[in-house]
Amino acid sequence: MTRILAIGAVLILASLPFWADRGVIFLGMEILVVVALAQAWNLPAGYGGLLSLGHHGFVGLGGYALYVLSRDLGMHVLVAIPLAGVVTAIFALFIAPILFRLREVYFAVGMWVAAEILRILVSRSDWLGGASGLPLSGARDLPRAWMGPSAYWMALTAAVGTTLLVWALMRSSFGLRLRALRDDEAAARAIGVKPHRVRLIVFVLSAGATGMAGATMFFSSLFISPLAAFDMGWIVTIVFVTLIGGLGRLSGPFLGAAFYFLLREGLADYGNWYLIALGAAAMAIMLVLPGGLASLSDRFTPSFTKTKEQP
Amino acid sequence: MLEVEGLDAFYGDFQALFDIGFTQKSGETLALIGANGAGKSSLLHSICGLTSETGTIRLNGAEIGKLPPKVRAELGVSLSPEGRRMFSSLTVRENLQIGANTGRPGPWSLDRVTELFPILEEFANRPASLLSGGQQQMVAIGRALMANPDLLLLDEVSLGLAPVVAEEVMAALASIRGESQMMTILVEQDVSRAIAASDCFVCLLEGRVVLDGVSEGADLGAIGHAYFGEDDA
Amino acid sequence: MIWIETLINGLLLGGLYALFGLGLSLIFGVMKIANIAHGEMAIGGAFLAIATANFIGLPLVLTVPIILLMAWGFGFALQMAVINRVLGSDPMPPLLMTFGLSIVVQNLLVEMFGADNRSLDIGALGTASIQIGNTSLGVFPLLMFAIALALFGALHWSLHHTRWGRNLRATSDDPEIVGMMGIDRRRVFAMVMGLSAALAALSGMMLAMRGSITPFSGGERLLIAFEVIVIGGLGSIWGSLIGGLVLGIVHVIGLRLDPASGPLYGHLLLLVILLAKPEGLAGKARSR
Repeated sequence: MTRILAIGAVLILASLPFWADRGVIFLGMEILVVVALAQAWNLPAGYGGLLSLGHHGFVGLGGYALYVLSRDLGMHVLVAIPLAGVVTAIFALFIAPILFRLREVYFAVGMWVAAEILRILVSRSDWLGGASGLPLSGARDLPRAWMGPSAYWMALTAAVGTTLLVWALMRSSFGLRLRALRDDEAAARAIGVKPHRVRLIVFVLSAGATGMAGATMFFSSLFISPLAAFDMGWIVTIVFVTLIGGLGRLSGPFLGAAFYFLLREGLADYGNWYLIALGAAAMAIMLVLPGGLASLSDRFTPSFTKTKEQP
Repeated sequence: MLEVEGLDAFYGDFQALFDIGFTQKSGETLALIGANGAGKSSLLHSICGLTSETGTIRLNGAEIGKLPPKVRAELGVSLSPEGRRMFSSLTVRENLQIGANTGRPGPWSLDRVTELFPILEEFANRPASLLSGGQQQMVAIGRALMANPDLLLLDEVSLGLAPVVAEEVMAALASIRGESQMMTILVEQDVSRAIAASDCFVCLLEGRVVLDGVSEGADLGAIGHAYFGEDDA
Repeated sequence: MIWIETLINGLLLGGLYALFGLGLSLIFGVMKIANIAHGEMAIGGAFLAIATANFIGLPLVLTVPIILLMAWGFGFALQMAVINRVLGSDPMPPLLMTFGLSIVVQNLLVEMFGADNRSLDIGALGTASIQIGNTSLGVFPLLMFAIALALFGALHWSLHHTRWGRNLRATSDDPEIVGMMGIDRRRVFAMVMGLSAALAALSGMMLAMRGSITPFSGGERLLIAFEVIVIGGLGSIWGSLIGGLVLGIVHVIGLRLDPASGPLYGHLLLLVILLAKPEGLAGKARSR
């Protein structure tokens, strides 16, 4: 039943470009990108306890990968977007040995430093357009009228893909090992879980999905610059959407994204106040509803969160 | 006087104690005996307020059951915990001094504790973590005594110590026994040693009191049955 | 000669960095959590000082202690009302909570003060310098360095010679059992958060006296504080001092060789340290 509903919802969402106007298509694309980013972040953070404050580095890296693949290899953008995810995943594979020397809160902040390094290096690279950025040369691959819908469908693919990925992983024995590791590393080791490998796999998958979502976002903007690509705003959105929606819950990113966009659009005339409200809402949720909005409807959603014991 | 009635204790969702009740008179030493996991440490912890518990705990007539650990300490509950739990970045002297934080008046002072355990004088300025197990146990007991408690809780004070050191610690405890109105609850693996060092005893099995009585002339056979939960009827 | 001057300037800047790190290191040492809003506490304190000094016109000698007191009170109240409620075996809830706070504070500052550069005017002191041999050293950087060293010394002394310091170290060792020593750990945590916030505000004000800040300067301050404690080695206040001095020297040398590099070389130093000596320069092997 749930599956039929879900497939129906995806089909309706897929048809959106045929009946909605450009503004709605763009907003829909943004929402789907945020859902994909939050799912990708939730995988290591919510299910694996591997929390990163540097995923904006992967967003920017995915974006730049798209621009370079399209410009230097002449790749079609719709091929380059998934490949940008692969590039980001490979990058994650290489930095993991360094960053995995940090644990818990130190890993979280260390990831932020890594994202900063990326931003500075990119803004100093002439090859990548320096601080002023790059236009998307491959934009001529597509008829202008199909740009918006293509980005939208790409974002839908990313959102559905990351959701299915997390769903499938959490139903597998791998998901079991991941959660065992989060809940009690010593006990997990004792039953044969290899912590490093499990963490590496979710980290790389998460980076890849984030890179692909980032590439989708910057495909639609037709221009990329270091400040936009490596904006802290990405990680702020990702973290608070997931937190408000529900860490370690499949429906969390959807609920959180709905909350975020309602808040942003509702407070559109009040400058930065939506961010103040977002931060305050996240803090309030942590105090009164640690499972996020998704925990309100536990009965209807698959939950992978252990019940925390009360101190 | 310590009165415990209808005490249930929990660690999270796990219930460790069920309907515990016993009474201890001032000046007495009570031996708490039972197999591993019977709930001995849990009982000490709930008297200290380190578990979540329901029921009544009255110390010298005052209900302490709902109070936070800090306030119970101020009212005279003092614990020498299992595993000693030294403050590893504090010196021996500091570990002892911190025991007197509650500022309760009484006979115990740094001098008095080092009189009881002379070796601690020598190591006063060393980090407590560098001491041997027996010496750490002396620090833990000394730290608990520094509070000038009305109720001293000693959890497994001879665990992991060489027999000769364990005897030394027990002898020191015996030397102060009955010299004041202080009550002592002693958790001890060695049943005959526990009975010898106490005025009365409580035997726990799976979180419940299965036997209690006066230590002098206690029937070790009956205690053994209660200890292992054997039905001898 | 220019290199000696660069080295000394790096050392002096390092004193300020060490102060940023010290506040964060205290929090981690006692509570095993990270305060992501550490940078915003620094920048927020500096902006409040700017408001008090520039707009109300209070002299700096009064402004600084008032801001320090306010920061202490803010840290204390924050810990009591918010952080203590999410403290537990999992260090992530406090991290996320302070991340939320950092975004709230940062954007409140933007709304209140705009996104422009601002600084705290210290008059002639800002440009005064003394000549030692061929090198010229700023009086204010020297003063900052002296204050930083004095604070490290004072903290070390009070950790080891006061009852407060003893209770704090004991709480850091075993937060559960200290209750039986008549210590309320939530209060100890709140005192530490207050102290950390005051140290952050002090370093933030010094930063605004030395140069200029925007409401967005907090993130970079947090990263510097973080690098200071990882480079120096976790868990000791002297590690923070060493980490701060090393980071200061690396930043100043990096900027001299490569003026557009910003904090890049400090960030890269962190990676090098993680690869070569993950326990930090002053650290023993660490368990987590």
